[in-house]
Amino acid sequence: MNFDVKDVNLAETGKLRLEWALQSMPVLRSIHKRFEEQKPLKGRRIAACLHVTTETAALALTLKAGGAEVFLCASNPLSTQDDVAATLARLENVSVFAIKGEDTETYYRHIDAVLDSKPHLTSGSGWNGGNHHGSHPTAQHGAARNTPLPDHRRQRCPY
Amino acid sequence: MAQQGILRYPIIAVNDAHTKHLFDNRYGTGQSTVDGIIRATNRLLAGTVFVVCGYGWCGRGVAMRARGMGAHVIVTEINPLRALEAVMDGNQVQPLDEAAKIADFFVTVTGNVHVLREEHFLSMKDGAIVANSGHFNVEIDIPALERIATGRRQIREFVEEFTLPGGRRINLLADGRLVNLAAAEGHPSSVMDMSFANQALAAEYVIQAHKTLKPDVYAVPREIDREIAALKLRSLGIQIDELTPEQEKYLGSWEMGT
Repeated sequence: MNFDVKDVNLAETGKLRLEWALQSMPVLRSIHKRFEEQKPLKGRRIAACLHVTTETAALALTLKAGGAEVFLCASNPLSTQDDVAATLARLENVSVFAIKGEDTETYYRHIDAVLDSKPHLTSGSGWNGGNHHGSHPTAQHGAARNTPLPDHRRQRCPY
Repeated sequence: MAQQGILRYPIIAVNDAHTKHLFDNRYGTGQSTVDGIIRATNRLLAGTVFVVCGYGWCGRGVAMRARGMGAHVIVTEINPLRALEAVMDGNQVQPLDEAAKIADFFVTVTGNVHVLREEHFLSMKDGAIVANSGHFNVEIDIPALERIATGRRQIREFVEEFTLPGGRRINLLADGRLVNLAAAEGHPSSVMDMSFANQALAAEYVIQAHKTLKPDVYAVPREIDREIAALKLRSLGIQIDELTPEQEKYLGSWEMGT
């Protein structure tokens, strides 16, 4: 399994923070439990571009519980929590490519690394720059998008 | 992209789910943005003038929480309806040109570029604090700030002080990147619980339905949205009422009016 995180030795610190976050995430926990039993995502590769935080880690583990192989990169070079990135990479078998404060080149290299997994599905906040999606005709089934789509928003917003 | 026919696969716009934007964008951004500003600056908000640029769900949340901390909030908007809503929610509404002269804090939450520009920096008070909690690091025109500054230094973690001609100082938080994620820890888990429940269930939905979905933008199915709200309520130990058969019938009829 490939990954690129700041320091795998931070994994234990991240694990405690993840446990703390999960205490406030009962809905995701219940989905996690059902996914574990039903495996609705079995055999699928999911590429996620999100802020690599404890909450995102909880999502990654839920998708994994559903049977998916999960690839994760940061949607912002400053938002990565290095400890939880280490937890995912070292203890949870998630291919994480994210380092807090990474330069622009590394940031895009990480996005490419995740898209190279040829995902069935992408999940995330826009993959920072349509170019990147354009150069990777990747998502085979579809995408779940977390931030507003500007054009779409303009259309449906009642204001 | 869908309209131009260049979208190659279906997209579920999770942000449009009620259990996402009404909570994550409003309460999540509201709390975590104020949290980021406080952690970065350790300044007191009470009694200050706090400008919120943009009154979408994120702006509503930031304004609401800044008011709660005792700040005098000024909202800037380009949309008359949202501006009116901001006024009736108890905020002052002004053009940014005017607000720029009197504010202590500025937060951009517009989703657009170069909201705070050179002309605003030039009229700001000494010590003004500028932060972004919207889209990327483009809402504040940082290149313009760099261009007009005569000096800059990192005065504390997440705070860069720019000195302008004449000696006034402007403090930029977290390089203009999302202050809630850079200087604090992002949205609290409890609200991301709902956003990511949407992501997880949307992923399951796409995988089940991908053969019938076209390359287009879809909403999260209403049942998923309701299920998440119901699960969240249950986890909070909160129960709600049901319609009586008489009420069901009334809602389904057109004969009776007001």
